[in-house]
Amino acid sequence: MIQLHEIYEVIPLVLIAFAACAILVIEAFSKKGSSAVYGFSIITVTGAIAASFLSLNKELIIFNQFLRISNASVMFSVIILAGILITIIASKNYIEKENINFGEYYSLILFSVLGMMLMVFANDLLIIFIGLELMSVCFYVLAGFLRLRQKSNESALKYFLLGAFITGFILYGIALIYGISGTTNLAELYNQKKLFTNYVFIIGFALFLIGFLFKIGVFPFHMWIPDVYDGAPTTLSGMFSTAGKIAAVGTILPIILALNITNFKLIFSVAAVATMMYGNVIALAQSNMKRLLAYSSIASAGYIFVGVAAMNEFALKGIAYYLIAYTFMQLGAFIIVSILEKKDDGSRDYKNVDIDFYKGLGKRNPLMATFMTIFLFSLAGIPPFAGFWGKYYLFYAAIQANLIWLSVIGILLSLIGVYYYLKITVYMWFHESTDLVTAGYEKEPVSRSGIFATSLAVVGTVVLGLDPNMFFRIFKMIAE
Amino acid sequence: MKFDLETVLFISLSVLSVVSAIYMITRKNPINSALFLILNFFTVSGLYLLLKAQFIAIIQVLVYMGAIMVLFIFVIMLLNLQFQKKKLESYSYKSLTSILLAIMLFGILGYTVYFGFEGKFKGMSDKALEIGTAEKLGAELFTNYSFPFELASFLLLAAIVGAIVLAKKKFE
Repeated sequence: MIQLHEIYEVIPLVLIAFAACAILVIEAFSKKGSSAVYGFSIITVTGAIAASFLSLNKELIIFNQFLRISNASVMFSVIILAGILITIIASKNYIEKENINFGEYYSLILFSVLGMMLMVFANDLLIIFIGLELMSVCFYVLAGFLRLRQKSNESALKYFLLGAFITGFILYGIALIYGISGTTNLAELYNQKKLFTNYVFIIGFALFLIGFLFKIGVFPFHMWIPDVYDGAPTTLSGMFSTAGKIAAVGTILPIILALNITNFKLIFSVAAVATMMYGNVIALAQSNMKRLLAYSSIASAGYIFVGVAAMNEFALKGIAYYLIAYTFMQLGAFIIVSILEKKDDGSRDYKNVDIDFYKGLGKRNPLMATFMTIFLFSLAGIPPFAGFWGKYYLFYAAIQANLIWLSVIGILLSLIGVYYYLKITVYMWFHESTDLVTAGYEKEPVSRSGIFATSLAVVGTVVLGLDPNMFFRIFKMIAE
Repeated sequence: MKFDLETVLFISLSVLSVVSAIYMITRKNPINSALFLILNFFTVSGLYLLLKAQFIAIIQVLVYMGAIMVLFIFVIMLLNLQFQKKKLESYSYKSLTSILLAIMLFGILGYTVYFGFEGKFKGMSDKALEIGTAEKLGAELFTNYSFPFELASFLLLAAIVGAIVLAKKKFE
């Protein structure tokens, strides 16, 4: 049975759920264009991050065995919430610019966060499914939030159709797992022996896994990513590529580790190589910044899967570190694209997102160009930024797991990635602005909220890079 | 086989459901097809009742006959479909695959039925009889599964908000 006091263990979830509903009411009673909802959601998410630390070191199974609180799940939820906080702070300016300044925007973001947190806290396949659906339904709508833009509509429809199709896979997988094991409870599932001698269970688990590989964007389930991230509102593309992926990784990773699937090692390695290769090679040919970042997020999913294939304790640390570094740098890069984007003028496409627009940015807007350079260097894996250490840990884990070939291929493929990240940097600092751009270009005033959000991401990228153990140390300190 | 009320009902409902299904796929007017589909759903829900699965029977009526059929009919009316004679006559690879799929489905179902009846058919246990009732389902939902049940309400709320955001004519 559910006890009332159990609710104190999940304060972050309660806060987010309450705020998501409350925003709809506040929006109705506040004046048009007021920032009450904006402030309210920032305060809630900050509060939820602070409250998350209360649940550290607890190892609880609560709510009739539906939720499980462990240090790993708290860590994943903190990373997700940090990404969401930066997204929300940067959103205000962007949604005003795009004329979509509605409370539902924040409400849907918070609902999706509720889904993500449920996924990482879940101790039951049922909760994972509900959380995943809650996240996905909000994402489908958010991708199409710019209703008058054809690209946004296309993105939402593609995301919805493919996502709904994949939901079928996950549900069918859960049904087969339940049919064989007789339980949807994860703790009970882990205790059952010889599950992997049963072919029906393997099929069920494979279907379940495919669903998550789709959400993470691992080859060959990555085709939706460029189109969706390209068409969705830019701040939200950043959120999809960070928080959404982290939630999926944070859900499937403990399951993979607990079931101790050694048979899948080769499959994960091959998937990692294919994903890194696809992401990095196709990104070379991109001329649109949002698409380029989308392909770079596919490549990042490949790096994460190097760690998943290694499956040792270094890998766990590496994945956690890479995820937080990735949140800062990927989200930061997307936010800068959103800041530089041209104001809505009723056109069907996003303006000023071509990489040609970034030529000479260092002279026009030195602050944003500097920040962008930091994010791109970090994504490329150049020390001393956080992205370097993330890749270092992941490839080190692969070497420790005797997957030397995998780490060699991974390092070579990430070298390809360096080319296109550096290309943008060279464009920004060593090229003159093209005439095409200067002719119709009005300098966009960079809002304070935008600078604040990107600064947060920069601080995260730089500080984590200078002292890579800091994140874990702080976590340990708070835990004790 | 004894002819009690249950057997009579079962035979009449199943014959009606097969006949209505055949009528549904052979009608040329889409509205007629849709109406026969309603009849088919109705007979199937009757079959569920005979299996003591009250809840599924009610849901079948509410969701399929109520909501989904209304949608079907709306779509047919809105799209203003004409009699599609030409398409009915042409045979393409699509019809071949659908025939193959139908044979496969029939094989799987036949296999299940054949092996299900191979041993002596004992009838349902008391526990199995209880599962389909609305009381049992409701009790489970509000005790053991109350947490996911509440979460589903969040999912629905988010979906409603999303639908309104996307479909609203004009934002204030």
